[in-house]
Amino acid sequence: MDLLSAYRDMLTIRLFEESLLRCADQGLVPGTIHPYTGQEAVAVGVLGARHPAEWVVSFYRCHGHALAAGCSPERVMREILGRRGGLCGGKSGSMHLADRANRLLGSTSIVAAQLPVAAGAAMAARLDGAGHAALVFCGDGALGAGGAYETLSIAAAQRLPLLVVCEDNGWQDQTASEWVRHLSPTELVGGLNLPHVQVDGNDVEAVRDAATDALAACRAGAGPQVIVARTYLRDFHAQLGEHPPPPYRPEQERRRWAARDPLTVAAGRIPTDLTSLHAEVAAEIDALLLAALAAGEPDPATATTGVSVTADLIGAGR
Amino acid sequence: MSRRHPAGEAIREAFTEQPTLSHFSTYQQEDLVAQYGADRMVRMPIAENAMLGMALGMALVGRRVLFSVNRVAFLFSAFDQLVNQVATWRYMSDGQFSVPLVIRGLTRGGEHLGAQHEHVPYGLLSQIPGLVVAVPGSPNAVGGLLRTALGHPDPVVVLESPRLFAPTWAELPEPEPSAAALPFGVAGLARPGTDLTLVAIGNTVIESLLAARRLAEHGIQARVVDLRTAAPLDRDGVAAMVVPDRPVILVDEQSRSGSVLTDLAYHLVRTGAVRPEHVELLTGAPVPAPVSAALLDGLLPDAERIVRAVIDTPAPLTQRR
Repeated sequence: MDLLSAYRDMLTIRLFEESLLRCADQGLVPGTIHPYTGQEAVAVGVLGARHPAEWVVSFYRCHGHALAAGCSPERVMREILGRRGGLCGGKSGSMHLADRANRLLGSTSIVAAQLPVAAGAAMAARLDGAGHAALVFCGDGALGAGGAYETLSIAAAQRLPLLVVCEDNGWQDQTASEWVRHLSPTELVGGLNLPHVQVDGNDVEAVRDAATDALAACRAGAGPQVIVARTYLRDFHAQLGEHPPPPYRPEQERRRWAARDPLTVAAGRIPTDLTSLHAEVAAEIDALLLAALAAGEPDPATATTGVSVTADLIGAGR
Repeated sequence: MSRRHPAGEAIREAFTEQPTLSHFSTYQQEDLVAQYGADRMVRMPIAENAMLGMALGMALVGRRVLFSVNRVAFLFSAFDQLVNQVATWRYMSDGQFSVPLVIRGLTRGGEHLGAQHEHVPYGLLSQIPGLVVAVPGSPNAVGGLLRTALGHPDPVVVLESPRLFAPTWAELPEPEPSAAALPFGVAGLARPGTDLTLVAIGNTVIESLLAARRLAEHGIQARVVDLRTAAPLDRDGVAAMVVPDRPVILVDEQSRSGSVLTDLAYHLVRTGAVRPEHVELLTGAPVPAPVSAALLDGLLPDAERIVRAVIDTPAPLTQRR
């Protein structure tokens, strides 16, 4: 893989998210924001191995997945800021990004609800016969939900070309995963006898290699594959309103992971100086942000359209 | 702000008084775990369907569970347990079993979280026989309705607006004199008035009280009625409470199709409590919750819309006799 290009993609996500967190502190983000900071290597590594025709399904921590899937950073930023020209017209906001053109099959704010949707896309891909797979991201918290097991069980029985990428960051909001489960994600999927691999989620090359192999297996008819990417949130679970949550994880744990930041890991393998790249990407993000903030708001008349074809036909929005 | 939230007080009181009460949630407050023990304050994975089924099992064998589902949106992941199991046990067992179980969930109010997090489903839930659906309209009402719920023999869903817990909650209009237990199925007089009646539920109690203040500046005295529970619905109580022979405006964030307030409007007219031409419904638009603030404008009935409905219409409601 082109490590420098992957580094640039991760850096774009990092600066994009940090820029939005500053906006949130100033009250410019409607609703909530779940930053992807710290997990960039997972999205960039996995989606670098995706065929552009393959659907990818995400969840509420979706900004990094969207950018790595090729969505326009400008339109994503406008959506998150609730501005005119957003990816979903201001209706989805931060947690529910969807982009048909880039085959981002939605993001859900209901934990684990994306898994059966992705299995449906995988079944459709097999019926289409083009040899494609479907991809889905989830957190480790999703493996506490019954729907995860229903989906994995059906996908295995049907040998669906489904790649499940579990971003195991060890926390479910402010609850440590180990407080509420008896086995790790790797042990859980192993117990279901599903082909799986645990990978360093902060190493973009390792993630990319694992995804390349797993997708090849999916496409070759070997059934569902699971990648458990061990990673960590650099900032926090979520911010609602103008104040970040107070620290809720052990300081030592945070420091340990910060030393293994995915950008640091990748930079250590790139011989060239990255200073000018940082300045270049920062300028791009600043420009996006300024344009988004200057864009004005969506037309309020659009609030009542698009609920259903029938409602639009008879004008039943109000 | 030194005042403690009435909801927290009601919950501490119940846990102190009832050793058989447990709390299920994906998040537990450290101080409550320290006080009541981790075996009663149970940290759960994100598994609403299993959590509710377990709460049902506990309740059937003589305990009581407070299930904090966080957003009521997440309760929809447990709809089988709610509709087919929890709500039916008393009836199906011919009274052998009861289900003392309280579900708390946040509705919507100023958070901009979008269509999968923001719902006001009291109409939907009140269609399920066997459930009490409590919808507090003020901080004291949260405490009062929770107190009753935590002593009630049947399943209760308490739908709480996030506005009632926002940092500014203590500045909201407070029609209830205290957070003492409030009876289910009994509407409350939230504000006296003689010129017209506003009937409200949940967030629209707040908006109606704010509107009534502004109408008073125009010399119009609006009476405000808080339904407090969507099920049971206090049809006769409201019919007796409206200002006789004056307009009634029913204000609801839900859309009017099959809504609790549409039901109530029918009853008020049918019983002669109000003339058909004196009834007005102010309801939410039938659309999922958008995130962008600009798109929210005008979707929900707020104080501004209520005031306009009363004084700015070509034939002002207050002048219709």
